[in-house]
Amino acid sequence: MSLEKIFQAIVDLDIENIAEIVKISLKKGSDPYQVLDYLRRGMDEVGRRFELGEYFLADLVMAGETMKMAMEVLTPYLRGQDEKVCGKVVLGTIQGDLHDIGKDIVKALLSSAGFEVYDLGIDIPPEKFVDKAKEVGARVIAISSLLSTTVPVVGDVVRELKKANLRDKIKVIIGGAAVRLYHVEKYGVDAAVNDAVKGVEIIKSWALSDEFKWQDGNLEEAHVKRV
Amino acid sequence: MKLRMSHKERVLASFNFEEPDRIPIDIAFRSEPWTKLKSYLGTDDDEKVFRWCGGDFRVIGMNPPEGWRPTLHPDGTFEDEWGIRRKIGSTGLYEHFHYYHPLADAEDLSNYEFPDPSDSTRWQTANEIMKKYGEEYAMLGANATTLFEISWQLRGFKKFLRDLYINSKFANQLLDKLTDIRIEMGLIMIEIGVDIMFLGDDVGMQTGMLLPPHIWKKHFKPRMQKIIYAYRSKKSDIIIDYHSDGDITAIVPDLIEIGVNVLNPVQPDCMDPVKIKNEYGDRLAIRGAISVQETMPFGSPEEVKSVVIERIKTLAPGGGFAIAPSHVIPPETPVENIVTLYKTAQKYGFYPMRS
Repeated sequence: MSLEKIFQAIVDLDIENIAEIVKISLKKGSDPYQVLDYLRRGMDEVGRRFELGEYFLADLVMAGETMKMAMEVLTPYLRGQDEKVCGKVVLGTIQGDLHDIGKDIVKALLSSAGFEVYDLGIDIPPEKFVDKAKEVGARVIAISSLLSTTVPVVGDVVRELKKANLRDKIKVIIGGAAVRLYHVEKYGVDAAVNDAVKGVEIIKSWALSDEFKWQDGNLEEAHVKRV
Repeated sequence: MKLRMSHKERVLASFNFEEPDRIPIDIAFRSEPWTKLKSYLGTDDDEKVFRWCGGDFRVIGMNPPEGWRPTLHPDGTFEDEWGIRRKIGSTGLYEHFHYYHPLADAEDLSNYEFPDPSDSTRWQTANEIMKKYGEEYAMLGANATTLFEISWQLRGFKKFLRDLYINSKFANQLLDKLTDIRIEMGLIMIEIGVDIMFLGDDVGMQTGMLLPPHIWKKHFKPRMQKIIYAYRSKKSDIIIDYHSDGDITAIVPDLIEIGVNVLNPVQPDCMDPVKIKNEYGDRLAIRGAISVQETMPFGSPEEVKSVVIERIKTLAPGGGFAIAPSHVIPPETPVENIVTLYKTAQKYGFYPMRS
């Protein structure tokens, strides 16, 4: 019952009560990972409603904030146990573009789905995406561009990846209002989407696919962690 | 119809759904393409270039008071007179807002001083522009970022959304205060002599509304209505031009209901201007409809030409259409595209339309 309430609080964007609801549930003996699972299910439902046109961008932002409040309570209970990271993603807004609302929503959705997100921020030069992915061993680079005129810079990220011989090891997804399907071919990325929910779905599908094995840490030594 | 109308007559006829002598043209540039166009035309004279483009609108607005200067902070941000701090991005082209919001931690408005529109030094330039162009041109009063945008800039985006959802007390205080300021600003501009009031907030995005319509209807619709009503009480024939980027189809009937006459820019990448014309064309005019996401920066001159002709063909009949880019023309736009836009609009925009 208390777990259902957690799911419902996320779906209702109940930012005022979520912390208390999570606390009570833990006090009653709920397994922290089960709490996390219900929070995630809530976020999935919010995403589903967004895709259906029942929820709007502002609702996604609020859902992210609600999730954040829940995680503040929950995180200490998750420590010490095996963290189930289902993959690392390097995220940022491309150089020349300063928009961050969409990027922040992607971050919230990815984090709540169990990904470890390295958020570089806005106005990020192409090489920084690659350097960070190399450093942390991420297998996905997710790039946001709201301006149609900054999308071409994404091509430079792909070129940098090729230069570093990492193109076949790292997937690149671009997202934002200005992104079009033909950009996949034009700039040599793996996926292009117009909204955060779809983008996260694609990254999740990569994480689950057989051909794409997540690895943690070092690019030479694959250590697969699956969702 | 007069054979040759003044800029003002042309715009007013069109926005009253009559066919003028030619479609009105509005110009909106970033400084970089404007400079490119000037050098292409071989002149440094802004006025000459404006007239070459065929612009029919002139804009006035509220300036900061005499002696005010923006504050530059050591972290590279600069502060406007609302206390909002921004930073210019690495390419020098755009500003980022999310650095400092003066009301971020406020519990009420008691410690915040809002700009005072009644200071007459704010309106010197507006008066000068009016004196120079007021008779000949359609005069537009800049009053956009009316409520939502200035609110989130003052408060922070996430925090203000939170206010809208669960802290109505703060949201109401802030929005009521801003409503009063916008009314005061608008009434002064009406006094100065504007024909059109430019209101608006970006509440749309590429795929639909950014704010849920129920939130917009609760917090913004009644206040926009109050603002428009106040203007109409002073000038009954004031034209209300409402701006939002993105797809705001969901609230178009509400905008018409509260007295909006012109929708800007009807971003064609995500909102079909022909559909808007077909559904609301006898009540709602369109100012805009030329894509700055695709057509202007990435189209060929031939494509620009064919888009402009297509818009004229589908949107101009019966009046109610002023052609304009769907936002400022972006820096990356080839100058040939800019030249083609304004040449084509002037060449093919004459009434009666040829089929």
